[in-house]
Amino acid sequence: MKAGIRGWGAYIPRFRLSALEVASLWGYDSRLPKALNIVEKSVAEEDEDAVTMGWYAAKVALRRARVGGEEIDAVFFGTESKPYAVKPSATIVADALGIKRRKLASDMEFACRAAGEGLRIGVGLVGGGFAQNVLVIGSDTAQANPGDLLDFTASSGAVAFVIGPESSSVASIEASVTYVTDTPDFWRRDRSPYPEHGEIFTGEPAYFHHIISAAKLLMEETGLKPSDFDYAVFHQPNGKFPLQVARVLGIPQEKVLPGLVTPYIGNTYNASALLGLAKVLEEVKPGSRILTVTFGSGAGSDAFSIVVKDSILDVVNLGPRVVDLMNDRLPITYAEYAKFRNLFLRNV
Amino acid sequence: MRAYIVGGSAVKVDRHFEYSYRDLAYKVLSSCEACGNAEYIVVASALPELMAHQVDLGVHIVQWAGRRVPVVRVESGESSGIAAVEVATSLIHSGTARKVVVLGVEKVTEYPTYIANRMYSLILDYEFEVLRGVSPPVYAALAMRELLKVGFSRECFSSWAVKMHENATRIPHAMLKFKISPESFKEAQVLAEPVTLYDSFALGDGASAIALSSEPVGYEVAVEVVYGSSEVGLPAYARDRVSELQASTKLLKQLRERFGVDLRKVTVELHDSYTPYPIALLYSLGYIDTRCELSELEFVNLSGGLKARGHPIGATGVYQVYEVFKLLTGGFDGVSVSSEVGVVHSMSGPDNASRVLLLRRWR
Amino acid sequence: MKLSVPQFWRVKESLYEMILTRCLTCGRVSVFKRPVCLYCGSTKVVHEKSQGVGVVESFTKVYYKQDSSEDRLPGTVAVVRLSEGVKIVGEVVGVKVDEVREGMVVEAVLRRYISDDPYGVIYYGLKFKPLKQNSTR
Repeated sequence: MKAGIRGWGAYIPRFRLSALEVASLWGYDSRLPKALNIVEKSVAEEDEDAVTMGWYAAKVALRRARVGGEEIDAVFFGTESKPYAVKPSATIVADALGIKRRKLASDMEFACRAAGEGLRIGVGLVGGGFAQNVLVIGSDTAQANPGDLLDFTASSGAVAFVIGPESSSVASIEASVTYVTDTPDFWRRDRSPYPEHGEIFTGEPAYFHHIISAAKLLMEETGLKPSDFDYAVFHQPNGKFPLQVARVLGIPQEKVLPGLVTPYIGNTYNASALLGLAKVLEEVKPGSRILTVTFGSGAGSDAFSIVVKDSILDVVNLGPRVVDLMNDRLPITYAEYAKFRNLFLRNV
Repeated sequence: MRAYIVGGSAVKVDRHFEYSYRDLAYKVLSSCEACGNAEYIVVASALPELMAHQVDLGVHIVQWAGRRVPVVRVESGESSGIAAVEVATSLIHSGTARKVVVLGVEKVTEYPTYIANRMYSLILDYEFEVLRGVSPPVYAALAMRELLKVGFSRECFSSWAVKMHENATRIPHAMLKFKISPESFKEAQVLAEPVTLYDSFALGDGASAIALSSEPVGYEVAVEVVYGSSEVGLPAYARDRVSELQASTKLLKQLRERFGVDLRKVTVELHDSYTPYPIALLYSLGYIDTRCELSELEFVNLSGGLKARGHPIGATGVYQVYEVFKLLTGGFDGVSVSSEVGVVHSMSGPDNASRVLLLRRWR
Repeated sequence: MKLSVPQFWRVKESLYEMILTRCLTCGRVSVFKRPVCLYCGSTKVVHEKSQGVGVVESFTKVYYKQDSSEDRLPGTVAVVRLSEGVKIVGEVVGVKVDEVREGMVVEAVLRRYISDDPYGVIYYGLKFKPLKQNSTR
């Protein structure tokens, strides 16, 4: 049995920190944000975390999918900022959404692509007849060492998808493939509050190699050519990389821009590429084919070929659109950002 | 069998850093002449487990005071004091004891104010109110907003506080014995808009005791506990209006209907933890309208109320009873009343539990 | 460990979702899951889930500092009339405090209530945020 997307939901906190403010505070040249193609990033409030944001996105996804909690057979929660190091986030979200107890549920970790792998598992479970509906959530309150380059982009947001039988879906997942290697480009050690990264090493051998390899594998297996895709969405650690990777793959910029959200909300890690996919799903014509390639450090990429069906038009307006969430913004200062994200050293 | 208040005492409401719960209790017991020969002690206190890590406070007080009399502690949030008087009078009525001391004691200064605030907030429902960010000043603010909407002016609430401060200047055991001006409200720190620190009670440590006897003869003065009644109200979130203090209104109306009690004529202590509450109560009883004319209510809160005498949470009710007892039997230096009847009103939270007592001078 | 685990676990249903108690005797509806009607004391009650959408009827901007509350100050607490007709009190989040207005349409959102940092449990529960077009209702 083939699988498809039955519904999706997004969540982006309203608060935005300007990249120029980050540059000014930490002594970067004010031209750097433009070079990274980043204007501002979304910031979660003090009382938000990956669980609360994921809950919101999942609630919208269930509504768009028009399925109740008793119809969800599995919940996969992809994050690298789980509130509990040990204790699943998936169970909290599932209970808070009234999802039935007989289900699979777990948190997945693979840097920024855990939710991407969750989608592939969902496709497998549905395809193998082990599940009717699988809820996959990507949610992160991305961590960045204050003053590090990541501070420009590491943001907060969530996205969720309900994967179900192709026949009841609004977009069919016609093919998917995953490509992983051991490439230590970005990591966070146990007990460390912030991730470390190899800076220039995160580019060529990591981001570009994995995304390009996965995309090429997908095209080889399906016989599709770059020109067969109407849209392409790539993991977006900044606003620059996705455009560069498209160029290498021979995909024109105008097919990438609709799904490029990082310049305006930052890199939401596990929600990054998938928020871009959600945005495209809300804006495209039925019949469009979307290439989506995730990337997670460590490293790996999942590539999906998704074809949008006519029925998508019935569900787009059942929840807030990504563009609505992007436009609903409140600028904050770095001091407010530090308060919201608990960066001050306080006695509590 | 009847119960008579035959004496009492009170420690100044203050930041008594040098005294513990049992120190304050001992201090007030030893200054209360009529409290000797008690056959039972009822301790009123709301926070000892949280403030002083002490369970079974009553027993530890009695042991500290070198006595062996039976003791029980009564806790009903801010209305603990009157709840203790209810228990004590029923011990007398039942014949269990001929003389009972009600001892209200509270420490609120063992921690910084923000920690004391958290403990105090627990008078509300922890799971359904406190966790949701609701605290006592939040309800006071919602109540004040309702009253402002029906036409009360902001100055009405300020005028209550000004009056309380003025009253407290004549009360020896009051915490805030200084006057404030209506203008000063403009500078007052906001707790929950529009309620400010000046609309809030003064938080202080305190201890007060009264001696209840089945027999008034043989004492210099005596005040009969004529009647007492209490009622539990709806949670504030479940009412049409937070300022609708149904339980308190009902109890005070009953006093008017059954005993002819007119709050303009009797000595009365109202629970004024936050200024909107006494205003709401006097309004619903018909004593004031939105013009908020308080001058006819000259015997209301001569103590300065919770606002200025201070509010040692679980002990406050005992202070109120002691004050009405004193006022009915000669008064404090410079303040006395001619009435023979007194009323004490107490509540916990915004009318969660409300209690009234009717007192009458016997001799 | 400062926060109890069972205390939260036991009531999480009433914190995670807005459960209403409808009385079959007097017909009134109260908030939270209760065994007895708050208004008439009847035990003939049924429980329903609220949609979690309502209108701000009144609110207050809060500065009252309590133990560990400082990271949420100033905050806003509002009386919200749910679409089912019953009132509930809760925090309004996702706003700058001066944005809150009477008549503002809000939706329930899951947030952290309190957490036993750095090692203990996290209490989650519902608060309110302004309802934008097409939100989670």
